[in-house]
Amino acid sequence: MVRICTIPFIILLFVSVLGISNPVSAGVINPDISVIGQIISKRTDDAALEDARIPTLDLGETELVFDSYLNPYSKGLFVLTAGNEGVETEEAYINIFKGLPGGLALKGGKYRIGFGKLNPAHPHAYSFIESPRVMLAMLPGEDGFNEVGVQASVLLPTTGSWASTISADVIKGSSFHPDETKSSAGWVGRFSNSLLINDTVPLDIGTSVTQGTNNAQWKTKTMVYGADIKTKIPLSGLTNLTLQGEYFYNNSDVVFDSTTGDFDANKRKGFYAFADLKFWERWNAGSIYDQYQPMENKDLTNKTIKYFVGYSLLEETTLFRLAYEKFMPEESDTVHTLMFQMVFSMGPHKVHQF
Amino acid sequence: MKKLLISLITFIFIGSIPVFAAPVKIIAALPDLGSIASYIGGDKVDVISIGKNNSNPHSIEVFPSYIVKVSRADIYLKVGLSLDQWSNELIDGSRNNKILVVDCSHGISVLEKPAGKIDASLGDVHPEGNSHYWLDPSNGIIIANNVLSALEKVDPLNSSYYEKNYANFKNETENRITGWKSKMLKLSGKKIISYHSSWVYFASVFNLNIAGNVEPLPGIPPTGKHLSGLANLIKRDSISILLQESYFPDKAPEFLANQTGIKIFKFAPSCSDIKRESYFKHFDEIIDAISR
Repeated sequence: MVRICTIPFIILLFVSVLGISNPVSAGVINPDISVIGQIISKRTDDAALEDARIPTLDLGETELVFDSYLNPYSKGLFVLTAGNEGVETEEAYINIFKGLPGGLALKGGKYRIGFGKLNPAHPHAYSFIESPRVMLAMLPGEDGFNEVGVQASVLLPTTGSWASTISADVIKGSSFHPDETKSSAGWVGRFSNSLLINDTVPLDIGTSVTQGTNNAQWKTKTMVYGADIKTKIPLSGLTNLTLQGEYFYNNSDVVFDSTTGDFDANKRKGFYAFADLKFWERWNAGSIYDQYQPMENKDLTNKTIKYFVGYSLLEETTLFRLAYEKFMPEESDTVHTLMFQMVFSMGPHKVHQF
Repeated sequence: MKKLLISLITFIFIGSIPVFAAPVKIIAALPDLGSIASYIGGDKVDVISIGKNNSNPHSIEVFPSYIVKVSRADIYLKVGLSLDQWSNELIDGSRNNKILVVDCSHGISVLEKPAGKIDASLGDVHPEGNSHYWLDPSNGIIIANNVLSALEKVDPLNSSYYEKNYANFKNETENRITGWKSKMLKLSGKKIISYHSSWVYFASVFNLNIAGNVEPLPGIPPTGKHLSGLANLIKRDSISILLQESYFPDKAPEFLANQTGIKIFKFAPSCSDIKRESYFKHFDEIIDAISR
């Protein structure tokens, strides 16, 4: 009985919150539309690749972004990506940010999971080229932790410049078992804190955790814990230094006997840390280091150091980046890669989130 | 039980009436708006500015600490005209259901409103027109009027107090404009150079003629060819004043100064803080320096 009464009530609540109880004229205002191209050229001596020692040029992923208010209480966003593997919906979600009680916000659809600082951002927004290897090694998903899910987040009541947010997501969980068709839900939790030091220096500290099923047949789990820190120190009106790091701990049950379902716990850790110096009005340079224990053999440690320099003509409309990466897997030869990336963005400039 | 219920209903009812024993909390996008709000609101408001005096108002980064401040505010003062799109991120991120958002550009006679098709080949052009309107002190009166309307909505019990402050602000601004115009009279009709197109309103009110910008187009860095052309223009027309915002690099203005002898005047685009007299002090500093 309770169930029967509750469902219409929730629907009614949503309808009233979203302000869709009355029909409104469609097409009053078009959404913001942006197109982002990311041409990349590489030369690597990775012997495992067919085009080792041959400079390559690739269109990379092109993003088509639609972004708009849906009504005074919510926004919608679609990000379609086109690349070598076809067209994909990278993100498609609604975010209800207003009208809910107690500083609550809801988000639903497909989105980059807010685990740590880097994963929620699109890679073209990074200061460097490509995600740190530790992210791909430690987080679920083959190309970033990106899921269909529902998120509730609360801005906690605090004092001064201290900002605290708690969020919880229920997700489809397909990133934990990409090869399986059977779905098994997972979840994500995050607690993030931010404050201002000296009124100009922000400091963000956060922790994240996620769990999902990596083998639907035997219901074995993967659990990942993360901790992150970020600050940005203004050095002058034109220059600043960004420091950021994340630590990951991955505990996966790995089935070693598919007939009995017997499994071992595979516990691995890794981290990255980077410094990015904006040393002139349109120039930045820095270095990122990461290391992790690979899934295949946790007794090994793979390390990467990358140096990068970037130039932006007019914010993110035209960006040029050059990077040199030295990947040092413990069990095989060091790989040297030189990368050049050109990012060009048409459409409205997006606001710079810290 | 009945008494308890009546007390509870009375408590909820009284709690829903907006009575501001506590100061009205105002967040201003820039210190100029904050300073004017401090003048109009007096001791009945608490004002915080997100932007600092030397921030580039086009691109302020959205920190969670700013969002949490907006979450506690009663009024948010936006610059508008697409200048502070970051304000929308702060307001939306704050999840503040009761905040009154005020677009302070409401009622401003906007300059440099582009006609025809707008695209990025024109640089970082704002479709609604030039957004640096607070640098005309007579626009300060329009901003003050917008602040007054907001305070009267949020805190109607103190309307007469705010109206009195607004009248004083209007009177003081008009008197000061007379004084500033008198000081600027010797520069009337003279050509100047500005780094970015931030000084259009200032030039308009004091009858200065902006002959060129260091930026070839808004937001686009100067090229050697552009600077060379600008140097020729400065020499030909004997231009002696270059206005530069403090957050731009010195290299190009210094090149022009070395080539032509033009004097560089470097100012923050906004007043120093949100104190009630700061909006006026900013004009005092600029006008005293360039009219000397």
